[in-house]
Amino acid sequence: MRKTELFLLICILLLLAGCWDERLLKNSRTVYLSGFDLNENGDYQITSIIRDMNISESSRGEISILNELVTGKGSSIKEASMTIDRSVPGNYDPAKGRALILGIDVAKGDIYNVLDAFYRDPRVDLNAKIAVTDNSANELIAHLSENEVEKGEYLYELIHSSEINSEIQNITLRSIRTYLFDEGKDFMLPYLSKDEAENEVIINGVALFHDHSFTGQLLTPAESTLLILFMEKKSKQVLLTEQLDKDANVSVSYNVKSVSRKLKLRKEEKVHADILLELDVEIVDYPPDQLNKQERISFLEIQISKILTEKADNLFKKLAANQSDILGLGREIIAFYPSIWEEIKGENYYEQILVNPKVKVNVRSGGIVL
Amino acid sequence: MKVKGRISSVNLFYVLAQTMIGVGLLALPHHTHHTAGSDGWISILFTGILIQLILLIIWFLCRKFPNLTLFDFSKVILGKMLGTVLNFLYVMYLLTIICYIFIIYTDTLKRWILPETPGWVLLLIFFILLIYGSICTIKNVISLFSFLFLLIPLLFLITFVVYDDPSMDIRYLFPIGHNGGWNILKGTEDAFVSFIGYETLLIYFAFMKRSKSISVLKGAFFTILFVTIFFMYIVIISTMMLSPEEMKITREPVLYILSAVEIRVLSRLDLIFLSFWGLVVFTTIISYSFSASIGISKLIRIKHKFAVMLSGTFALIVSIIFYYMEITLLEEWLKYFSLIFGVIIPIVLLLITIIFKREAASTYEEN
Repeated sequence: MRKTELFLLICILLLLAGCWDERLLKNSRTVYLSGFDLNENGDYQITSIIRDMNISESSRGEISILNELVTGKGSSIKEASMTIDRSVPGNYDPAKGRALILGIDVAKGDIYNVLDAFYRDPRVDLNAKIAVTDNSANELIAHLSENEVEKGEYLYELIHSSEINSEIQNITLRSIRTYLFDEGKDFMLPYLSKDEAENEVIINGVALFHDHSFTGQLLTPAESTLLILFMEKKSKQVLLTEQLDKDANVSVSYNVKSVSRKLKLRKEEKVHADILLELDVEIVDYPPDQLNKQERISFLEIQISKILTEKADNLFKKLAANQSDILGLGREIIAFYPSIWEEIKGENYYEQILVNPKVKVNVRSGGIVL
Repeated sequence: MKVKGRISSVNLFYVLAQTMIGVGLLALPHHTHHTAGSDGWISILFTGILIQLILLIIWFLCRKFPNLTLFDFSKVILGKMLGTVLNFLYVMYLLTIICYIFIIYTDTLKRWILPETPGWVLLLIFFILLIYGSICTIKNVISLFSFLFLLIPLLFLITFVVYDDPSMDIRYLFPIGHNGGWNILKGTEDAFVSFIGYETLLIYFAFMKRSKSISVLKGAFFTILFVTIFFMYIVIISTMMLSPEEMKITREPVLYILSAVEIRVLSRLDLIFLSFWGLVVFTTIISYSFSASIGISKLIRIKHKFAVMLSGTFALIVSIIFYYMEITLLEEWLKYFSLIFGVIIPIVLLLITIIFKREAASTYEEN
């Protein structure tokens, strides 16, 4: 019995999987950042940064990191990456990219054409962030300052910190697919541009999408923050500043503590969506002070509510002009008013929806002073 | 011939739950979505209720023949000749399921984590594990299963991290029931295959202590309840995470969702889920091959040990043939097979038993 057990064990040992599927780090050329462009004759161009780690034996195993910029062209994304594979020693491995940058031409077309190859590969890091750039992705990646060693992580952190400040919608490679396939929802992506003076890359607002492509309309960070509040998707921190009095240069900054949204839909000639947004805020910067007086607080509440309602009006006009249903009202109608959806459904359903936003602000605290 | 070894209803819970939760789990939301759309979880609920009813039938049948497995009482009910034929068919059915699991399992592993590993190597590993797991008595099976049951709550736990995802949308579940009652009912057809495993009760009931009392039923009842809730949970969570059109093109929604979840030190939770799930599938295979081997050993009067070898070898050869010829018939067949062997035959047997008043005692007079 003991012998047969041993024999079985040895059999299993021999068959241990992994021998076929091992992937040595030294053979693969790991990509941390990729950009996609579309040129005039319909070819895709991939620009990637490959990181090489050299552990030198002479200087006590010191690790030196080299970044290599590679590009490849092809009529599909996979063909383009095969072109790169041929040009670099080792295996070009785009699976672990932390950030994907879409050039403006790609973004204006159907972006799913670019992303499809990623979803078919089980090894892809679906947590990668996606961004749109105002020019070609190639230029932006080349521009990323040379002294930044971890370029992929740099962009990832740049986008991530904006997400924490609720300036952009939290979108990853996985969740973007959900939005792309959802008929009643659109999304927005961070919009990157070069900052010539600082030799850096900055987030210049967000790009509104409709269906599968970029509408061409941008929102400023303040607008997108407001939009995220309307979506009830705020992250840890939401800091907003409003100018109360232009002449006296009085402004107030506040942190939104909690959001509650009431959404009413009614069908008349068009579908009217009345949204009442209630914000509980904490004043973080207000030099005139006097927050110990109740009338002062109500004055602030009324002022901020008015300003935000105006801003929201403008914001929803922009959304309507581009038919970008970031709020997911289409999904709301599908879910709770299926009969209305039957009447308005189609590519341009958002034309049929009129949004009437209203914001109400409650000042809850003023930090550790009154 | 009475079976040896006794199990309690708690043990039955472990065995049955492990048998039922198996290879279908990963693709379940995709399959139910196929016909029932976002109401897939209602189909699961219906199927669960349906299976509770079938459980009652099986119990009524088995309590007439305490401590006898299907392979024994089929001869009592149908006579020696027909009974043997039925036993043979049941053995073939159980072996077919093993082959099906082998193929699906290999296919999933190859697509998700081991693309370069040859299929036959994986099948060979399953074969060895199958033999190792099934050459034993019911007592050993239970101690293995009750230990591995730990993994099922772990699968639960892993799915909790998904709630952090901001793209999760409860509205995907609404409007409830808009796919129409007929489609939801038709969805039960897709969901039914995931529930197979309960028919092993025809064998396991024989091992129960005090098999005539209601407590026997309780164990099986709670298992099916648990499995239904678990499946419903998986379907609901996948429906909330993926938009309807996306679900149609995602083969293993559960893995796909988990592959995007990142927690501090782990960036690929799907791999952890997959390895736990692998063990859970294993218990299913062991349970089936154990039952099939009981049948084989009764059919051709060989020891349990050799019966296990025989069933393992059969499963290995057939699944290698099917795998390399890329025959996908098995899945289609299984839909009908599970209906015939899991529902129709038990009902027919019960009817015959009631009408012709067959009882266990009649066999023992001979001995």
